[in-house]
Amino acid sequence: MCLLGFVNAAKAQNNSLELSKYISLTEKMTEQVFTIEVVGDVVQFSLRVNCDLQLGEVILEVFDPAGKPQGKFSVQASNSETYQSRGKLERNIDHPSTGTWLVKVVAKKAKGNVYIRSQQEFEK
Amino acid sequence: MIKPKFAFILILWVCCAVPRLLKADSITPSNKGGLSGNILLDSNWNRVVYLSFIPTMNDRFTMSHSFIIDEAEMDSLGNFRFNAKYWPIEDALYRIHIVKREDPVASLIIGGREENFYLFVANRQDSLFLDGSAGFARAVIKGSESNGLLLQMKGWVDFADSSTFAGTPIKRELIENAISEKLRQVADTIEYPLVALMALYYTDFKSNQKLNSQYYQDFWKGGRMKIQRISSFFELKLKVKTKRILLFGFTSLPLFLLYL
Repeated sequence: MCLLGFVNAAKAQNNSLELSKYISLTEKMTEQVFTIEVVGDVVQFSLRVNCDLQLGEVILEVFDPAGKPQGKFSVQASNSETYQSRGKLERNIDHPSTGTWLVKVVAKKAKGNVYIRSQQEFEK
Repeated sequence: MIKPKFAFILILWVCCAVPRLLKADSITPSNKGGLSGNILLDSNWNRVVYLSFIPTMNDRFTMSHSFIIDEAEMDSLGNFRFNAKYWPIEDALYRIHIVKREDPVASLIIGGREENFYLFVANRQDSLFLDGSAGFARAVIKGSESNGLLLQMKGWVDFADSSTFAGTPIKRELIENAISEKLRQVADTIEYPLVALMALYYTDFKSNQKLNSQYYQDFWKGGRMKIQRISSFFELKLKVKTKRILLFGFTSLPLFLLYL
């Protein structure tokens, strides 16, 4: 497992909490699970998973706190760094299950970036 | 030295057969067959529609350059057309997508207001029309019963999805079970094997395989899964070559008969 440029960011504003993770994929990376804690009286939960890929293949999957899959996509590069492949998954959920949401990233000889951004809006 | 008779036949064959052979290879737009459509797009999107051949059900949400088999430019009114001449004879799964101006060609957006793809089932004989005049998000494919069923099933799944986090856990479970039951009924009764297979995929059959084991056993025994649901693109190329050889035979035969 090898990650470069792994960045976490959190921003709280009025009634919302924004969390983001930026992952730079290297060819040595295989599998990694990222967690997002959804706590309190959340009215809406937005999750966006973006992947830009120059080489290899990446599978990204989202699971709710009950372990149920909530979205999956994969991106395959053309094996030419000239042509990039991109995948985006967007989920907007009203009154989400509280607990730990997971984003599983499975990479195969991949070179690229994954950007995970979540936003929780709380009861006013 | 070539005899005059043979030279005459050779010239005649070249004049008759070659244009037909060239025509067989070229994909010229026609008013019949394939997928045509009309999409209303704002200036954030490129005016090109990409067509992908989806090799397996698991690849529905995979974006890869290698899946893209064709592209069509939209005219000023948003009209486009894909010709079906090289599509498989049997039903197969396809996906069209559009891309935003700053995005690479191989871009897939799943969910949200900017979802950029549409999955559909088609075969070489189909003549389909994608009506996206109310925007790509509301696009509907017309001209095929199987795609109407797919759209209906997607509506059920989306409903189950949206109700997942609403109401009590028991209510959620009841809704999910009712929709899965409906999908299994569709899979059991419709005459389109690929759509039947998709209905089963929508039921999340992996997780409820044990619960409905008898149903799946009957489904397999019924022979509905024996279909060669999707042939590879390599096979597709072979078919085009076969067609060319047949064309050669058909165009040459009358000339030889004439000569004899």
